[in-house]
Amino acid sequence: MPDTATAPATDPILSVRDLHKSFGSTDVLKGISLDIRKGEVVVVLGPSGSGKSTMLRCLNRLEEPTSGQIIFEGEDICASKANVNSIRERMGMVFQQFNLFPHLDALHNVMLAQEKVLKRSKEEAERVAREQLARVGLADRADYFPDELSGGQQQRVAIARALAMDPHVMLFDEATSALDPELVRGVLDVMRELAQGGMTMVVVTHEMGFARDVADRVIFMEGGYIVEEGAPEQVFEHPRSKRTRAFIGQVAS
Amino acid sequence: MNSIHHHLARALALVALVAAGSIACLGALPAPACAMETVRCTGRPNAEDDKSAIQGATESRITLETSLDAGEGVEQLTLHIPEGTSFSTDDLAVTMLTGDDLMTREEVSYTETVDGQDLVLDFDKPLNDAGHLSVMVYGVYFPQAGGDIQVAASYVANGAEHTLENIPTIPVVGISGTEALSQWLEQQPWVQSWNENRFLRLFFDPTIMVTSFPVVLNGFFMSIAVVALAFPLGIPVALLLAFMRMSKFVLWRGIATTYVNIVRGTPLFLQIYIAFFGLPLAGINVPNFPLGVIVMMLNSGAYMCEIFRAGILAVSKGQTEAARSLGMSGAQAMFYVVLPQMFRMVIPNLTNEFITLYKDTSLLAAVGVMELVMYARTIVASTGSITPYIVAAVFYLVITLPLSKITRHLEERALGHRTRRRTPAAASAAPTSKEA
Repeated sequence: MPDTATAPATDPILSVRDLHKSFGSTDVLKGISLDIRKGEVVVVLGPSGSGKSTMLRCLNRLEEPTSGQIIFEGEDICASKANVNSIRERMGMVFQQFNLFPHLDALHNVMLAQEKVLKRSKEEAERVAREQLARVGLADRADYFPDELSGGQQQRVAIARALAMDPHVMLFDEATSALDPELVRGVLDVMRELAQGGMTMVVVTHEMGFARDVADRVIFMEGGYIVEEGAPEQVFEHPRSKRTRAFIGQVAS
Repeated sequence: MNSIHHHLARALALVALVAAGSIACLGALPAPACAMETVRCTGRPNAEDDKSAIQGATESRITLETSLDAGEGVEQLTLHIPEGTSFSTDDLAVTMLTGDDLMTREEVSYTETVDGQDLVLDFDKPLNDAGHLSVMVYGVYFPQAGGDIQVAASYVANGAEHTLENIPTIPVVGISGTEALSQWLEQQPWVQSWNENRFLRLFFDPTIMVTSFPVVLNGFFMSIAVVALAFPLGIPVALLLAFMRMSKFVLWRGIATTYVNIVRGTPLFLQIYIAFFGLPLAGINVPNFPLGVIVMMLNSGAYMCEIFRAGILAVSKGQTEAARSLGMSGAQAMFYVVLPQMFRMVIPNLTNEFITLYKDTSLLAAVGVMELVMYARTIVASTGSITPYIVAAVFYLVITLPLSKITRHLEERALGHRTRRRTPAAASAAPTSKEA
């Protein structure tokens, strides 16, 4: 892998070609093509029902694409012989509903997959887990169960859980949409730090401020297509499509 | 069977002893020189189930009969009743039997004194007639543990003291503590008036409650043993069935669904009959107890399958997705993420299933598995009282009531929040927490 070169010049770490997805007779994705380079932060915007979450879930095959190609680190993840578990190890995902394991405390939420998937020793897994919890500002909540944590804290534990697997790409699926407004910030701060640390991120969100400040590139989706794509200033200040303009106008008001 | 032999042997031994005694007397000494001789010394049989047995801690009577020669001049008779046997002098009966066939009865006048275990009879007139002297002591309670009771006696005749020889021992059967308690209860006035009520006597006879307790307790242990094996063994069966029912392969789904529908759609009683009467006809002979366990296990497996299936489906899809997104395999996600949550969720349902299964062990009584109801039934058959069934009911409740309470508690807790030790900041934030 030519990772010695600077970020924009490298080959894409994740490459999507003509991705289609339909649920029954409903076409949700109608041909998505997208390249994401190492270290890049891509924010996906769009009205609900535009297919952005489905697109994200296809990237680690939580949804099975109907057709198309997804190349991750040089490997076609849709191939029948692809090892989907080893692909997912390298792609962290953060969900809208956190999905922490309620029967485990924060520490063990972060430890479980390290031990079972990466086969790390208990000591190693715990060390990494505490490190990641500290990174998201929850070192003192290690022995709290999910139902004892606020939504924002839960989401930060979920981020720590994903990061503990040393992923090469992080996928965020409306990570702040289920949070009370006052808790959103803590989660966004963690995401922002992650971006500044050079993590490759694909972020589905409604947080315009985050998109503007953090994104290297913004993608606007509607009706199963990518309608607009570009640097944040360009998409926000000079949208080419009138649907993009309408959406941004609506959200900004 | 055994006890009949036992008593027969004992009776024979007694006859032999008495015979030997008289032969020795007759052979060794000429009749006139023969002093007072033991004819018999017996206790009155008092066992309810065996009409020839004398048992401890139950009211009985000691009869000492001796032979006297004419002109013997017996002035005083002392009976020494061994330690541990109590007696009363209230209804003491002292009689002389005279005449050729000893058919003439004559009350003897006397003064009695009791000195510890000694009962001393001073006769108003020396006994000079030839015949038999019979002394009956009432209100006798032999020791609860039983054993051979040796009554000793001595007498004073014409100013000289003699020891009465060759007194046979009285064989007493020991009884258990509960039997003794039962017999004691039987004597109590409140029990007697309680039992005068037909309903109370039939269903709540205290004496039968006491005696049936240890017997029904055996049945309780058996019933517990059946569920303690069948229930945990049913869990893997149920999990397997649940996975089969959720399998994407039609064959597995079909097999499991058919099995669950058949087992849940037919009475357990019928399943027990089919297993216990069908298998032997097919040449498969499994002992009662393991067969009972297997039938209960297969039955509850079907019910728990549905509990588990519902539980697995109730764990949110997001849990599996989160586990899979971390690279876990489907099996790992099921084992480490879904099943632990499922088990926590279904504990109240599992407890209810346990209660049902425990109660249903009673159905095994119909095919002769010795469990709670079966043990109770044996006493019902011998006493004609329903009380042992009531005792059995108590043994069911001893398990089911606390478990239902626990189930309720768990259900409430599932709705509420965990209370556990926290840092001071968290504890003060939650004032309901018990810990400071």
